[in-house]
Amino acid sequence: MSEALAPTAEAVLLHLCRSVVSMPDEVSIETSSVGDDRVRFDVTVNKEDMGRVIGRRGRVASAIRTVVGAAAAKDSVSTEVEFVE
Amino acid sequence: MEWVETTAKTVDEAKELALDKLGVDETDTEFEILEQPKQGLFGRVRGEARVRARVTPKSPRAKEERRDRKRRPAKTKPEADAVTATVSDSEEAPRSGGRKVGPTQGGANGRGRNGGGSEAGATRKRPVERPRAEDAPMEDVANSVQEFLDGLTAAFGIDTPVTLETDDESIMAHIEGKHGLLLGPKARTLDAIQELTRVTAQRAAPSSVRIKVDVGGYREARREALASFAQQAADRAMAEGIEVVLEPMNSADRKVIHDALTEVAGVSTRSAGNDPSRRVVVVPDGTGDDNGVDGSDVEDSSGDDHAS
Repeated sequence: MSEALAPTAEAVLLHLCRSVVSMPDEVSIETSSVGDDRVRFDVTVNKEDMGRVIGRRGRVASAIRTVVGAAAAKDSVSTEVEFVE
Repeated sequence: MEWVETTAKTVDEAKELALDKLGVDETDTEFEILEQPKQGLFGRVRGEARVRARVTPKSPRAKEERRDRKRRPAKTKPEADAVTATVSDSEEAPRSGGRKVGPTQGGANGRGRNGGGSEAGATRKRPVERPRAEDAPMEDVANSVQEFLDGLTAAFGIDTPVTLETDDESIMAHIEGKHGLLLGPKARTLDAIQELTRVTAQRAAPSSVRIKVDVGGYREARREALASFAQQAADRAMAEGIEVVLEPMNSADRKVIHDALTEVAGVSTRSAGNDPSRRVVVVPDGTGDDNGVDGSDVEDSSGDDHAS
């Protein structure tokens, strides 16, 4: 069902998160719709990987959001990405 | 960059810079303090704090083969460090470039000298206490970059080749085709992709290899435009005998300007101000201000930005 909301953005998000963490199998994404054309992703990673997806001063997280936002253009939605343990 | 080395007025600032450069959280990082700051008269900083940091390796690695390449004999005396120690702008601090021994400019305008200064990192060539993980082989780094970008373009649903251009110390990844989606406004998406590529590669195969990502030849075109802009500024500086102050640019762009003008006779360059309004100043020869004595031009020997 999440496929329907923003498949490109979600695929990109999953790839990015899996790439930067040390435990890629523990990455999961929950997708929800927040208002018209806006999709929210809640990304869960292993606790030990939180620092990796967020990065120094949120640099990695911010880069992830930028790239996911670009991908979401293909899905004609805007996105928000949150990281949870 | 396996280890990055930074200097700043305080140890904490140097650590911050190192973390910025690595792009990771403190908890994933290990530090070594190489030098405590030395106070001079009236609180003036005489010697800056030097810190070395790296991402804590995920797994033990014992790649020995690159060690020789990375540990070159020092070309300069340790005193050369005194020169860089006067750098007041902490932005220059990342000096990992010193390990690269870039084929940088001859020291005509002071920049070459800095390259040597960084090399004085060799002052601590003596074995460090902790065993040091060596760089991952270039092949591993390249594979990680290729895999990351192939996966990314696939996820984007963009069917385009990604080709890598590599030499001993750098990887240039080209995403073929003019994909505006991957470029983004002011190349922000591309920069984010590059950042994530570096982070991914750094974690999968830690090394000091410099990684750049381009899409549809954007960076090359941008570099040419900047270089021609730099030439115009140089012409003007020489014709009018004045210093030409350029607009604020990020460190990668400033480096392009510095590099473009290194070989231009009659001018030298330095940087002034602090990020984000740091800018290049093009100085015509003979104005007595072309030696970068203030160390403000140190940045260009340290390779790319911030990574970063």
